[in-house]
Amino acid sequence: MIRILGRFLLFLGVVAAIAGVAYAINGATQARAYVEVAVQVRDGGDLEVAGTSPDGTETTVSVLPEPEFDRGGISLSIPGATRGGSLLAPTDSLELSSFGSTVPEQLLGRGHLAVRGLCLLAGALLIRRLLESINEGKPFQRGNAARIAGITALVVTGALAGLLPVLASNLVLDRIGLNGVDSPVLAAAADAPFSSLMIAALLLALAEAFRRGTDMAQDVEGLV
Amino acid sequence: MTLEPAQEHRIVCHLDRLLADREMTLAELALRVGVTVVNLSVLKNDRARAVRFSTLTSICEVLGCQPGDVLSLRPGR
Repeated sequence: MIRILGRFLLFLGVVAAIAGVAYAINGATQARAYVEVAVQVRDGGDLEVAGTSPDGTETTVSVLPEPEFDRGGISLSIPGATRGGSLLAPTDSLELSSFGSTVPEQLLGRGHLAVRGLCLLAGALLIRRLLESINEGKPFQRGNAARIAGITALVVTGALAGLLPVLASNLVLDRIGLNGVDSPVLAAAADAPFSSLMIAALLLALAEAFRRGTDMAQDVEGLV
Repeated sequence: MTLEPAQEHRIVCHLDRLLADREMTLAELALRVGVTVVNLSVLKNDRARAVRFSTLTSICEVLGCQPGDVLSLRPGR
């Protein structure tokens, strides 16, 4: 069972690494084309919604005035809704599409997937060896504490990779002239990696426990 | 299993002589003591680093001897 789990994790790691790296490289080959990055709205007062009027002409409609926008989103009325129901489109995470992208923008925009895929592969290799030692009845053999510490580093690296798309967003906003303090949009903030940090702290504690266990195992090595 | 120089000891095990005197095999002793033959072999060949009191008690009971008959201290250099 443990061997099957180890092989399955390794398979997932290989797939994630290949897919992530290929996706990032594919993005780089699409330089000069469209790039999509995450942004959030700072001031929606000047935003406009593009649409088509009934006669077929393209029109733009301004976003509803401040009172509606203050609710943290763009309010959309629903035809036929009774009792004043409306939709609220959040503006804390929107996708900015920009033509004429550069290679760095494309790579950074997709780089987090490549990094996380490679971390998953490296983690799978470490976990597989850890599981094999446990299966052999030697959980506290030399190297396991270091392997767990390595997995911790990979978890932190994967969490920090979430900053790469933020860099891409800033590059795009800078290129299209929307990176100033007066810009109505700004790069969307990366998710705070609280859960990853908690997992990393737990893994560090586990690594220390395994290190102590290795010392204790050596103490009883040769015990009859 | 090689001991590092800092952990060498001078305890010698006399199981081979005790077994020969009683015409008993190591396998039979292992069976009666409840320890694996491998572990008793480790003890007999002075490769053990520690012995449980419970194991030493069982060995002495089966062989009808004292701990001092099983283990002794080799004179230092």
